[in-house]
Amino acid sequence: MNIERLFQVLVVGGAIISGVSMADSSMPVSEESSALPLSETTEALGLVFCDQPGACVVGCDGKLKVKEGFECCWGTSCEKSE
Amino acid sequence: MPNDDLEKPRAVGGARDPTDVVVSTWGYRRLVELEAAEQFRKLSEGLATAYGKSEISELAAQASRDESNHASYCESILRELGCDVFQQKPPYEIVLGPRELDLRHAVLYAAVALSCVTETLSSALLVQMQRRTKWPVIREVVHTILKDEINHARLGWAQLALSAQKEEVSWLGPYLSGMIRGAVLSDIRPPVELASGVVDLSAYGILSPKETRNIMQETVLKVILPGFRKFGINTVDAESFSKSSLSAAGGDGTRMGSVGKQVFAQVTINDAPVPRTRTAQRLS
Repeated sequence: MNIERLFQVLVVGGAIISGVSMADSSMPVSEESSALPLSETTEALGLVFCDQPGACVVGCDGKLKVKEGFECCWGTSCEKSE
Repeated sequence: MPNDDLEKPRAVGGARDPTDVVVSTWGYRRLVELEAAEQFRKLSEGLATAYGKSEISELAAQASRDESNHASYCESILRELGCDVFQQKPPYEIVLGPRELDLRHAVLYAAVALSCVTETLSSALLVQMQRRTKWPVIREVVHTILKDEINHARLGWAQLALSAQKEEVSWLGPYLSGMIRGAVLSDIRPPVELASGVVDLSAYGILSPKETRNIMQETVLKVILPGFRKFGINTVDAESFSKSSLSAAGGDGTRMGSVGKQVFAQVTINDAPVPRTRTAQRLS
């Protein structure tokens, strides 16, 4: 499991749904917690769900795209915009 | 059995029958799902009343419906294991937030406790469960619930982001340790205790106590608390609490007291108020 991705999917993703833009969407890490090893569990976050209301927008080509900055997970139903 | 390669868990030597552990765990999760449905229903109403109807209050209403479905999924697993009689939902009082808070603050408190803390922890645990679960019925249920959990967690972070943009939210800081404690007490500890001392049951959606603690600690310290810091909430006390209570050395899951009354927002343990949230190793 990629723990930073979990942060992006949930925390930053939630902010995007609410329409609030986070100036700095990186994960703040305290000095203490940064010393902890990442567990191997987080690699599973490579899977993606994206059929979340508010997560997708219609692109110029008429196709659904994920809102800019929105991190999906497990089985995306729309293309991620570049 | 539904899978030729994977049979019901079997007892080894004189150990407790692992099938009983799997049944008990999924039975417990079913009850937690039913409770969660009520909590999200109440939260949806609170959000609509305090902040107005919005996409977020509708997400909470949907979460309530999801949780009811999750309870049905748990029943399907229990049926696969030979159970067809299900424990009745215990009566409990649902209160949004500590009583000293006004409605807006109480609703935000509840959204943070339920979604930002409990559902975020749940999502992290489910990710790992999904990797390890092999029994087809359970694997399908875990996948479905995980998909919902992501949205349940996001709605809390969405409300927090919205509130932080408009008003002061730093008052949440002193409550964080209690929220984390409440989540662990109510929903993590019982399944962890059930799984102690039995064979590896990860194929049936039950992570080991050690793995559960590791995932929880990592998620609290690297997702939940950093998320709160993003919105200007002080997490020093909560970080210290989480490191001590969830560490492998000190967190055997038996030293945190017990919850005697099922209340969403707050219960009393030895006369000390403790927020009542729910989490997973429950599945949502």
